[in-house]
Amino acid sequence: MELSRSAFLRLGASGVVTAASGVLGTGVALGAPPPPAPQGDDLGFLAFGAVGEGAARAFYRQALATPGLFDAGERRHLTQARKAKRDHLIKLNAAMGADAVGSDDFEFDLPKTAFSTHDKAVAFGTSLEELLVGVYLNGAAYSADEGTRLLLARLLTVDGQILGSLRAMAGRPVAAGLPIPMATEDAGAALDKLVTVPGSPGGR
Amino acid sequence: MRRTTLAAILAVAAALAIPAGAQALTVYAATSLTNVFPAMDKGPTYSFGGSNTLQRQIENGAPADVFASAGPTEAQTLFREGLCTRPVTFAINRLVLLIPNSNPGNVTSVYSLRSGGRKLSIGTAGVPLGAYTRALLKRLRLSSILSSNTVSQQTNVGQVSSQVALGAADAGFVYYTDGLAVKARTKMISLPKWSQPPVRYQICAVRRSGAATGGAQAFIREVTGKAGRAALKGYGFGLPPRK
Repeated sequence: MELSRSAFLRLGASGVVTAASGVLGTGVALGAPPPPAPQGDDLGFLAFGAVGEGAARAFYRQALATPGLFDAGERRHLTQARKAKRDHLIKLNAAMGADAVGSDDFEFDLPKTAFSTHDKAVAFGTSLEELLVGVYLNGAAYSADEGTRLLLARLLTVDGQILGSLRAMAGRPVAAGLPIPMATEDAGAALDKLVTVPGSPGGR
Repeated sequence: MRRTTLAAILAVAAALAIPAGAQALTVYAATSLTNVFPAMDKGPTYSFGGSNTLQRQIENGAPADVFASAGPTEAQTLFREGLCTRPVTFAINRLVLLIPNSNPGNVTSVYSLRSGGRKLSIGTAGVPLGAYTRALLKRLRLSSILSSNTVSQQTNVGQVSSQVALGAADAGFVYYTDGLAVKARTKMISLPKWSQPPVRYQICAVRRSGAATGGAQAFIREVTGKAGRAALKGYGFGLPPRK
């Protein structure tokens, strides 16, 4: 059966693609994955993920708290995405162990204009998810530890699905070509604009 | 009569010199507190140094009454060992990259150090500054700069900032407040916020036989109180939320 573009978009927006890939995922599971044991600078991918997921979680919270921006179906997706962010944070912090990012280490200052219209909110959420997908892809390729690579690939899969949902909300193709790996240096520069360190001296 | 008068004068003089019940107070504090603590209170005898060194000295019975460390690890360790009261966070700092004004290493960001070949000054792994620096470099995926540059490791932050200020290093990782202290001869380069480890200072009263417990508690109240917070802010420190 072939799907038209619009039918595929509807599928993505309704979460069928997500659900189907979840079913496929459990069908081919190979047993317990190796636990992450990050080596050296592997930590950078995880730490970026923890801060980035925190920023994304703040976005979904704010998006859901802003009345009139999204319809009921979209709100369901955003709620699922918010829950996924929480799960990702827990998994990332567990992998980082003593280097975990504390819940009060960072605050997120999201621009008010990002929530002024539906399209702006979707575009802002998309930009956040693109940072995460880019860095996870980089980490899945270049982390030294096998368990860390697998964790990042699993996070990448879920965030890729969330990104597809957001693209569908914007009326764009769910799949927009192959994602590009992103260095933490570049992604970090974008993320830094949203991050504040509570109590940090010197206005930073 | 004269003997009685002399005794009374001596008693009054002694009472004026040392308030009733007071003992001389000895404060062991992280090097990065060298300027702010004496400005806050000239009374105590201060001993400044690397937090881990001071921790070891207290464990070995040094006559400290108060311990203020640049990270939670050292104070919390003493607390777990029963050697100090429960530590409280009283100040916040952040890491910066310090370069000499002349910038001979042409360092424009932390990522400049990736190309290697420069003289870099950092804290040893055992002191909070060194631990924070290594944590930050891991987050930035820049641990390799510790092998691609010539690295000099120092036991306290004052030595790192001095090396940079004197031009003996092209760059060094220090606390923001230590960068302020040598700002006439150096420039600070901010580091990505998302990569900053939480730099939190903790203070506790040392538990040992003969410790000036009352004085220690009073000093801690002073540091965490209105005047102490104002002094810390004046020296560039960040402050935790008021309890």
